[in-house]
Amino acid sequence: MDYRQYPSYPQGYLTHLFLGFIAAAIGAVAFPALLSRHYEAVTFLVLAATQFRDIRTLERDSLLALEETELVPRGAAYIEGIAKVFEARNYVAMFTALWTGGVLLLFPGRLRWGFLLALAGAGALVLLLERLMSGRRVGDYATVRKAPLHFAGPFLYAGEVQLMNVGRPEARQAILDYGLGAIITPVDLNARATLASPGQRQAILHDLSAILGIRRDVDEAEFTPMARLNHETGEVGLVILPVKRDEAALVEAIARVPVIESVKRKPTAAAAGRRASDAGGEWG
Amino acid sequence: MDIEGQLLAVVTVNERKVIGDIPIFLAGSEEEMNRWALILSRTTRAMVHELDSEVLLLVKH
Repeated sequence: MDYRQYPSYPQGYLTHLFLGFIAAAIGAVAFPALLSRHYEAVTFLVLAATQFRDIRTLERDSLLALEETELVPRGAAYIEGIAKVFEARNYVAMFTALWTGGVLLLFPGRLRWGFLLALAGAGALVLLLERLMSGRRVGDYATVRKAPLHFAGPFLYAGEVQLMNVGRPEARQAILDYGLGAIITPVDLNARATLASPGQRQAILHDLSAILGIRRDVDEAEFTPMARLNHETGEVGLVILPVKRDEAALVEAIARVPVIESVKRKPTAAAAGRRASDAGGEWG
Repeated sequence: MDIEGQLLAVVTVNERKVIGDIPIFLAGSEEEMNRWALILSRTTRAMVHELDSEVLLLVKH
């Protein structure tokens, strides 16, 4: 039920397409209704906002219900982010229809010009809002590179970052044979705080397993993908056992994971955070 | 709320290293210890961690 996997979900696609139509219809009639002194139209806008909040709930509930069936769960933070996007899309549809309806009302006599202006404006609005909504990606916050996996005793490392304790020698060998490691290095203090969020790290692992596949079944805890912090540097070390062992694809996939809105941190926006950043030197 | 990080069982070849009221499996060799740990791990869906070369822990995360 990922928003990027929608073509494979015709039912879900249809649901949201029609909810979008409803949103657009409400937006389109808002101005005409108000101009003809039908102020109760405002009530319908409020009703619509409630309706859209329900869409968020609907997406959240459905994704949360699927969590148990996922080999690598999305995590609550990612689900909340996805649900918000679904809600926001309806506002885009409504706002665009509002604009189109408004322009057509302003130029009633010269219908052709009004039509063109409305159309161009609507197109520009959709592009602008989509751009604003598309958000940042891990690649904007950090540099990603592949890292060799190795064991020190039972402890698995990706580069210098310790990941987990693997008890069985056969499992260690399997991880070395099939696993891929990566290091995500945040570019500044803000990025470091964001990547440290367990929700963001879980989102990365989920996306990786969705894109590269995951060589793991439900009863194989040893092959759980893992992302852990290096407290000295803020780097995130990561291991995954993908179906296809392609290091370039791994790095590319990590860089393209969206940064979740609700876990974004900006400590340097606060005076104390800036002081900490200056004192650290390293983050300049 | 589910309890996470719970110790389910211990597999060991050295009974002097483990006491307590959790299941303790005393294996005859390190090979047997590893094989038992695999079976227990798959059946309980728990992770096998190494405490030292003679003691394996099964932890449900």
